[in-house]
Amino acid sequence: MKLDKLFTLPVALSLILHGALIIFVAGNWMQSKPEKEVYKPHFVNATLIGETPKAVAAPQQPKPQVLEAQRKQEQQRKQQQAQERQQAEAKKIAQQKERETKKKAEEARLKKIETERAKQAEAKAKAEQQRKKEEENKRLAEAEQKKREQQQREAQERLEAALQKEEQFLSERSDDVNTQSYEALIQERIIQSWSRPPSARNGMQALLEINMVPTGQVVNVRVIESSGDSAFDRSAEQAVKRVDRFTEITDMPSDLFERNFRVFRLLFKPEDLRQ
Amino acid sequence: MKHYLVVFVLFFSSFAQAQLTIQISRGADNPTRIAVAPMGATGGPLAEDISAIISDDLEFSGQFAAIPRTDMLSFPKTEAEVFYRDWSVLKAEYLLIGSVEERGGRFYATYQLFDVLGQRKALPKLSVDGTEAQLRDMAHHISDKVYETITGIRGIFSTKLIYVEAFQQNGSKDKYRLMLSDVDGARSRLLLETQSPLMSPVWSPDGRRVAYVSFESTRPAVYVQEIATGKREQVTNFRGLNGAPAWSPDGQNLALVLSKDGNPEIYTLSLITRQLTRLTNHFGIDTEPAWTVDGKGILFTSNRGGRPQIYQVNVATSQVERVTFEGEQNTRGRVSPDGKNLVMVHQRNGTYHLATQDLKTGNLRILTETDLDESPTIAPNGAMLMYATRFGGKGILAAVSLDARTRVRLPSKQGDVREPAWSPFF
Amino acid sequence: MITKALKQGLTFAVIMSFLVGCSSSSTQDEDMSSANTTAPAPTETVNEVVEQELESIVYFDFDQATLKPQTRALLLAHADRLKSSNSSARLEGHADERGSREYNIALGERRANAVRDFLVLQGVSAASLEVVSYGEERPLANGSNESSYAQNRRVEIKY
Repeated sequence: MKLDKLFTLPVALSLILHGALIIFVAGNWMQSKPEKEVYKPHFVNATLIGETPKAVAAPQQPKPQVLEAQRKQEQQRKQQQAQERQQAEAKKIAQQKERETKKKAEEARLKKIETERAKQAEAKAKAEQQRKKEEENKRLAEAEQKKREQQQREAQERLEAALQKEEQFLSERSDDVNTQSYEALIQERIIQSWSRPPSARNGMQALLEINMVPTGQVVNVRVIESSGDSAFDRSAEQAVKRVDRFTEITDMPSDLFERNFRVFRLLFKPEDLRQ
Repeated sequence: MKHYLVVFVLFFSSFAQAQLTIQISRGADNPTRIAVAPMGATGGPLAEDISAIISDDLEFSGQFAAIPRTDMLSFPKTEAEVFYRDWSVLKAEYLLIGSVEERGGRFYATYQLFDVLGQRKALPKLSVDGTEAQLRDMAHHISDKVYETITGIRGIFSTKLIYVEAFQQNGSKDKYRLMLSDVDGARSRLLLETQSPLMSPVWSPDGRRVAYVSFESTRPAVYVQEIATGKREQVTNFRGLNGAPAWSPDGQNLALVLSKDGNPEIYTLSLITRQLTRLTNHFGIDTEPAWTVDGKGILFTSNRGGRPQIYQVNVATSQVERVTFEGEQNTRGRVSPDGKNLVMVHQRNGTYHLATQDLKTGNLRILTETDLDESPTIAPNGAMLMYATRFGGKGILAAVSLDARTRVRLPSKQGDVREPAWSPFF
Repeated sequence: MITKALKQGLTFAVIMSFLVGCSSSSTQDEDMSSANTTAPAPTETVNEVVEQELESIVYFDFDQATLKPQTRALLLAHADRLKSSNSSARLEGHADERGSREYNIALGERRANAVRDFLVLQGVSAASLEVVSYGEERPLANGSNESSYAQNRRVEIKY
């Protein structure tokens, strides 16, 4: 059947892929059985400080027997013997203990002295170290001080050099700042005087050259780049003529005036109109 | 060696070009101050005060501020009598002087325009003449000339208005008048009087005819009337609505609204062949057609999208596309003479405004704030808009410049004035 | 033994039944009152002589030309009268002053058409009905406020 033919290949592929997937997964699964966790004990490196013998355990009392008197007697006899033996032993042990404690005390004393001495030595060493350190610090401090002084001197030199430069820069920069503030003044006066004609649109621009004298009086206006619309050009000229005299210019330092304002340009380029 | 020379020159020229350039990107747009000196006649007083009409015209445009006569220091009539200092002291930028002479029943006016700031003549001596009845027209002519010289665009002071004046006393005593007047409202004359509603007057492009809707036959019908003779013709008589006529730019077709086929649709009617062509086909309301400047499209109001908005239909293919998307509704669209802007009534946040939309960019600008402003009509120089509004409890006309900088109110009439239509240039 | 839960359940049930009882009675009141205001006439006029005054104005919502459900009864009465007396009527459509005049003319016509379509559906002959629109030109109320506007959005049935 046609249908079979159409399906055999995809079915076969599907089976193969699925089989492979299953095998892969199963294999992984079998391999990745959880490993028995081997518990590794933590080894503690402990240093033996000293041995103090445990206290001697109290001798156990034998349990009394109520029924058999003989055994009792026998036991009593045995007990006595044991007791005597124990007493002898105890004495021996006690003596031994005494000897040991004496020895211990002696050892302790010696050790104390040792440790004392060691401590002292350590302290000395430390002191020595401290001294050395302090010396070192002092040296370092001195070195640093020297360095700092050097740096200061250098800085001073640089500062002076910079100051000089800055003075120069500032005088130019103050020109810039001044220029900016005078620019803003001129700009504002022109804006207040500019009346755009109804044909004016965003995108139009006219470039005018202005000649001014130190009193702020405009002595010449001319269009150096027309907008292509004569009414627009004319409105720009009119704006300048309406201002006629920038009274604030009289305060301007003369070198700034000569540099930037004796002849300057105005670019009339509206951005608030319709397209 | 040449190399070095070039570098040398470039090096120094770069210093030379470091000239300060200040950019001016906006302007306060204060009106231009102009002094119109009285232009008396050499004989007795004139029937019209020419210089007053000129001052009023220039102020109407919103672009000028006329200096009051009472402030003037002198009344020069010739160039020799002009001292610029008298005028610069008043901060006048321009000075217009002139005089009128009567010779054999005819009036001859001469005039000169001076640039006070530049201290030179802005116009050489010019003249215009006419009958006594034309004194106002002569004044408007001079205003147009001054306006065009200073602003660079054509003046509209010689154009006319057609409007509807309604006297509504609830039902029986209603009176409706179709009126024609000068653009300043003067010299109004009656074109038609009826007792049932009149609306939607529109000038033909040649300024000789007016089309309007009248209910005098108890049902609305569209009429075309010749202004000079008063002769008129009813151009439609279909059942249902007949309304909202609009002249095609070539004056040969009228776009109309007819509801004869079930609901209001846009049709065009050829005034030559009388052939009627249907353009829209939608169960919604389609009305208020307005032709584009090239005559290939018609803008119209439709509520096919829910609330009324403005759409455009291609006259050849009948394909419709939407034009306005902002606001709750936009209606009563009119295209500016340069084809670039759509003026309409725009509703936003429940308030109605007149607004203008740039047809290319879709940018919308509000022009007026009052809720009662309606039926805008655009001046043929594209610089102003006239519209109907209410003031003092009455319907009056007002004008606004298309950049919304200035607004002016026309003097009110006896009845309620509405539906202004601004004539083309004659 | 009444457990705590059972007690709670009973109180709950009692409260709920109260609420249900109260709300149902108030809606009943509402229905009664609305029925009273919109159709006092029908119950009367159907039994009365044809010359009796019938309310002849039907109102609409802003920018809408769909008949409001309350107007059904009134229009049915008009349909009956028209059918029985074989008279003709003029349906005059109107709009409030908001929006442009031409649009309001179209809106007024829509409203009158809606009334006409309803009457025709009731068996009135279409030929006996004339539809006309005055848009905003013939207002009933002259104010520029919502109550005036509501009175002007109407269709008048004139015999």
